[in-house]
Amino acid sequence: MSEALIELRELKFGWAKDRVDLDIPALDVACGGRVFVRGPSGSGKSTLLSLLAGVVVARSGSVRLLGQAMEALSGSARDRFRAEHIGYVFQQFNLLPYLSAVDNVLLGLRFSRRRAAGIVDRAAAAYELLQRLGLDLAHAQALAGALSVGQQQRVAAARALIGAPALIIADEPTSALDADTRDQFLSLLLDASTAAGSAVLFVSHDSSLASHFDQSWDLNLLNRARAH
Amino acid sequence: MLARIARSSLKSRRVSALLTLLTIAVSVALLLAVERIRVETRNSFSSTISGTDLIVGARTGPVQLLLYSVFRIGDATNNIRYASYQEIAQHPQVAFAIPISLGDSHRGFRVIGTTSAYFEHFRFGDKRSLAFAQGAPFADLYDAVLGAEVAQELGYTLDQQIVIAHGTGRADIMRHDDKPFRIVGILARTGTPVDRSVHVSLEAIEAIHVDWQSGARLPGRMIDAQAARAMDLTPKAVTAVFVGLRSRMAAFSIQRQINEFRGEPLLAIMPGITLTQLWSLIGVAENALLLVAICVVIAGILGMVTALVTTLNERRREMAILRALGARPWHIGLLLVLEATLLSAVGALLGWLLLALAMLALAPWLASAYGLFIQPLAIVPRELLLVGAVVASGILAGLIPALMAYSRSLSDGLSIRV
Repeated sequence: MSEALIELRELKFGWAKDRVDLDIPALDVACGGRVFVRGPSGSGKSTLLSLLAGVVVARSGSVRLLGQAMEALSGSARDRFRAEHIGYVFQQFNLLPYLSAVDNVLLGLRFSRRRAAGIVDRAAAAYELLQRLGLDLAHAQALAGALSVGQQQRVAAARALIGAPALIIADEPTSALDADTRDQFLSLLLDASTAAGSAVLFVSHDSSLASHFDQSWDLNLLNRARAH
Repeated sequence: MLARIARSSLKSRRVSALLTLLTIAVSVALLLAVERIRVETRNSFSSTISGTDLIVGARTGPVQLLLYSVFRIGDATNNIRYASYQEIAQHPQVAFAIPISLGDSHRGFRVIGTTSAYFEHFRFGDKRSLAFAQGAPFADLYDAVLGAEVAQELGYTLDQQIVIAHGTGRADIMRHDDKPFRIVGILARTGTPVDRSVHVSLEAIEAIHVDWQSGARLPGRMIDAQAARAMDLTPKAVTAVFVGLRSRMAAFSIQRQINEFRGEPLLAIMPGITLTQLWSLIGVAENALLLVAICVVIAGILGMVTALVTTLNERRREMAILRALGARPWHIGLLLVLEATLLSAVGALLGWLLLALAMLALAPWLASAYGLFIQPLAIVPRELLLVGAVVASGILAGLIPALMAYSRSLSDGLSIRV
């Protein structure tokens, strides 16, 4: 549990040459940890998530995931790393609407040999995860586009969790949900990720959710590029 | 899995996908139709006459002689003397000589004056000879033998009386109604212009014209059918002669002898060689048609590319989701190529089916109107090649939206910019 999952050191990044959008001296997340990041819009949230997901690399400093320096990998190697080790949940519209819920979940295994390797019956695993997240068989087989927003977010969580990746990145996954659905979703997500042994990095502007997590940071304070 | 995503994605955009399929299908059907008709026309023309080594007529263009003597297209400008025919027929190298005399018609069908040699020696297709469905060759002066199509279209049966009209126009204005003919035979179907011909003897042609001169009836000199029998009906001229030789090796030398004939200017052609000349003439028009068909296919493929490119914007979210799942940019490109492949392959298949259906529906009409006998369900290697080329171009064209999606997914990353 204490092994390092995320290590950021002296991270600097800017979308344009003459700009620094993100400047973080240090950030550590242990394997299996639950981290809340409060990040209002403009705090560099999207930038941080892009760096963690390996879509972009640091201008200087380093981002290490599971001991691997992302900046040392090529673009397609980072894509592969993301497929193997990271489950990603967007704010909303997470699913391909023309596939069934269960097929959307199975997509989580499509690009990762490692995540698929541990699973004998993929479909059964997908149904089980969906059930754990509160979707019955009928909903699991329905077209994703026909589900409610809350159901869609749970399918997205199942897709992120299948194959037990080391890290789940959730980018404001509850912002489109009402209060009841939000709390229910949050506890389902956290329970399921604990069961899978996956760490959760949860980003939200809603600081009332922070109490559900072991650790909590405020990106506005963390990001020196914003502090001045 | 990627193929399944492509399929489901297309299914979710059903209407635009179906329209794209239809565009490609219609263009492929057109392309294949042009090719099919080109091939079938050649087959059909080539099988119209066989076993005839030389065709002899008055001096004119070789293609023209072939067209009016064999295909009954156009009219002869000049006849040749009967004596010339006799001289050719008696040449030691000549196995048979079939004289034909054209210029009259019956309700739009050509009338051919000939001899019994026609029924004995004329060959078509794979050296097949003419067969009688009913009756027998003409024996009496006023006997007529009909082609299968004539009998069928006009509903004629044996022993019926018909009247021949002067000239080959559709409207029978000047009719030889004083000398009616009796139908004594109906030929079996051949799939050649023979089916659309009325056959009478050379003497009969002479008889119906005894009281005519320069295309008009001589006033006050009516000679009735019975009186004509008593007259000398030896033909004075024929339009053309189909010649079969004892040895095909002699064809070139006999051809030269006929072309240098002293009695009158004659032209001898070898049907196969002249047919080749005809093809090179028609080839220009065929190529133009093929070019137009290819342009239509290109337009169809461009339509598909347009449809795919316009979806790219609304599908940015889809791309971002796939990228978040670890899809590499080339996966996104491949997805678009797969969709293009699916559209062009299924479209081409539909096009082929469309053509087969159209051909099934049109086959009877093409056979009766143009003597074109086509096989609706045939798969010709060249057509497979064309279909393959269409699918390949579709895939190639799919690279355009694919590259766009590739570069966008590189720049967009996981952020969704709509």
